[in-house]
Amino acid sequence: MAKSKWEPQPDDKELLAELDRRLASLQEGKGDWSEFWRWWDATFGIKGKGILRDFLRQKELARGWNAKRKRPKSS
Amino acid sequence: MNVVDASVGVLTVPLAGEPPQERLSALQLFADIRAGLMQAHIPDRWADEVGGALWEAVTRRRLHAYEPRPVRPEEAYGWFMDLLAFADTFMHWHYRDWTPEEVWAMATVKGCSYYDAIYLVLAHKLDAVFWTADRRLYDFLKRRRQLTNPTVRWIGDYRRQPFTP
Repeated sequence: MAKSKWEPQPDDKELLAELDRRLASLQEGKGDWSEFWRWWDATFGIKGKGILRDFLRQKELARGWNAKRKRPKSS
Repeated sequence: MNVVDASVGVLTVPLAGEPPQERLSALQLFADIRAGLMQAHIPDRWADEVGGALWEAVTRRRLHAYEPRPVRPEEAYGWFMDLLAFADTFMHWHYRDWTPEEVWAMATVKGCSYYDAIYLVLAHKLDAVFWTADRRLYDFLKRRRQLTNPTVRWIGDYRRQPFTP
């Protein structure tokens, strides 16, 4: 099964409090969605780690299926 | 524990035209997962579904939520990578965590698609709630009285549970 539950980042506490505040504001119809999305993008963007890194590692382990192999030197 | 449909993940990116209440619930759910307040689980198929939905948003020139223009391929790709990075920890794998036979059996019982049954098998095996933003699927299961075993919930109904320290 999956590895474990998400471990909150050390700086997440303040961020999540801010997220709560912003979501509550939107819920009440007071917030600005455009402003929210800008903040969300800037704050929670991770930009491609995690699973891709794992896939690359797996590909490395299984190297060969699509790689150009060096021909063994003929003696 | 919770199994989260790809349709919920797509609600957390800035694509215009999504229903605001469901979107708020999806964002709240993801925030709670991130905060460690709840555990989430997804099948590996989740990645393909999210990728498919975001690529379709690009090809159909769907509008960006806060820019007055269609979504660009590179930003949709960025959202996709963010979601994959986020989902990495919670991912389960076919053949390792469930079998095609189990999925087929679930699809037979529920009458849903084979692909939807993957989520239901995972939720069943984990004794988890399955959250979806796919209205077609939810209404279909509701009509057939198939919202239990596993429990299926509409994302618009998600509220943070009270937690005791």
